[in-house]
Amino acid sequence: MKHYKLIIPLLLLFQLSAKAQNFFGLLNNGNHIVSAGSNANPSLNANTDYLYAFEEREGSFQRFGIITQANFPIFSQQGFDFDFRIGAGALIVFSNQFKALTGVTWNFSRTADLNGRYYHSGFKIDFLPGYYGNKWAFAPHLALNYQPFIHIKHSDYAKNAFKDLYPNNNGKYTSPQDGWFSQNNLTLQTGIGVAYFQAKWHLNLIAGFQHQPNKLGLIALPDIGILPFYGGLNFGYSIADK
Amino acid sequence: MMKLIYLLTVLLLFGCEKIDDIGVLVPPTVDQDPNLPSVSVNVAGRQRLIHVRTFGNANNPVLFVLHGSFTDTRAYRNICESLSDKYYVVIWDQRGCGLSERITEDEFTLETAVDEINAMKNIYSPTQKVTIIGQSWGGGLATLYTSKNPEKVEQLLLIEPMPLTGDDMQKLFKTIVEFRYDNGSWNNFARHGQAISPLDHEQIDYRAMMILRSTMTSGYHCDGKNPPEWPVHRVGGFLEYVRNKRLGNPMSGFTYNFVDGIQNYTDTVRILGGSCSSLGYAMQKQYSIPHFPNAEVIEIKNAGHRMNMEKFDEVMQAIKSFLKEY
Repeated sequence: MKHYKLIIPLLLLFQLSAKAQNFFGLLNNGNHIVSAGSNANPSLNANTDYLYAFEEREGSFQRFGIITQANFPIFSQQGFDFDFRIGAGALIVFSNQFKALTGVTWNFSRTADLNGRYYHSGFKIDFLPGYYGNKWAFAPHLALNYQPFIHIKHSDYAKNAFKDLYPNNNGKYTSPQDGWFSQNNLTLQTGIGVAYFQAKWHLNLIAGFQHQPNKLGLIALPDIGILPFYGGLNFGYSIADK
Repeated sequence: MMKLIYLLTVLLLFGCEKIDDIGVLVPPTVDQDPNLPSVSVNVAGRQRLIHVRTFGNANNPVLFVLHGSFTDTRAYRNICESLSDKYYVVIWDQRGCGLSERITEDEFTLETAVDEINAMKNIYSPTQKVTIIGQSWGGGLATLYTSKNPEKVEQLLLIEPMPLTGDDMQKLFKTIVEFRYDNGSWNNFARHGQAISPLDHEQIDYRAMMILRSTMTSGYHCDGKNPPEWPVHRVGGFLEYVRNKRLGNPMSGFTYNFVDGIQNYTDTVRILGGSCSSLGYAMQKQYSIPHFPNAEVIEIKNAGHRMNMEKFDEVMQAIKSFLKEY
């Protein structure tokens, strides 16, 4: 119910980064592009990344790059939470100024909260087909983030939920389970990406809707942080000329 | 190299236990574990198992305890045990909450919530009136039940009931919940989804359990940064989502009215309000009391919304001095 106060600030102030959005660095000159920004998914994070961009080539696959990225939660750091990504991207030319930025990144992340500590891993695919002019780019953003692997170490708080469960002290569920698990944690994103770029730098913004498919038909429950929005704002700079 | 990566991926995906297996994240519900005590009720056309605990002699007058939102029966057991010398105390996890069987969205309305109490009454006190104690949402529900069934209620005692009408809630909403996007608790909930999505009841309940330590409802407590302990087995996250839909929201308005018919219940209603809580003494005196033909509010000093955890002796004194059996 309280999410209405969140929507505008999230969209306008802390536009979430679709993580690894800085394939936009492929629009800059130079081989070494660094960038920094903030993003929300919908929790708020700071992110920084480095993109190694190969030289432009002839043909449809105009440029390739390899990226590393680190995300850190801003207001909810517990221990040393991080989201580290590595991947590759490409700038694909369909015709003239109709192009697409696309990329795939693999992540290894640590998330901790009141219930426990989680290491999780998976991949994300981003696709931004649209108009790429001389200074501006406008493109729909489509992304898929899948986290099939997770290691859980439950906190005492989570373990306490299992205490005094059975009046007859005769039951087999006496504690939550720690260890590696497989899961279907899927996040779908659809939004808009906008970038302004010069030879040495770029500024990009991505914002839109996200949904985690579930068996319950649940779209939003702001009380516990479920909101169908994401966004990000990033500034990138080419630190070396061609 | 690629074969090795492929092999490792397959092993991890199919060799690992699945996160949504029973008991991995949260305790099982009564339909998943027959060792848990349950009764079966038919509400909204569906037969569902309810997790129930009883305290005291079944020959004593029956007293129902109705729990609040984002919780279950566990935190109320001290009240139940204390009253078990004079009453047959029955407390249950409402359908979709705690360890009770999960329900579908169309099974929960304010009407079926009342039907559920009637179904429990038919089991435990089919011919006699029942005394009801309700806290927070449970206080609102107890009021609604009494409004619709005044002839079935022996005594009614409310512990910081939520605002009893949508109009009251609209006026009070900002004082009840402080929702800031730079709140660490909220960001923790949101970030949890990057690790574990709300795929099913287990996973959403696991996340929802964290709200009990949240600072988003700091106005409920004397020390908002350190909410009092509130033990819980399991929270019904999906049910909270459905209940929010039924009650309304501050943008489109809250549409409920728990006191339509309460004028037919003329016995005195006692309300307990903490001195610290945004739903406490002052709020109850100004907003809740005027809805009842006869009602009184008792202040529990230095207590917030979780007063039975903070000031147990004072709360029990205020309860027992009201109940007829003491």
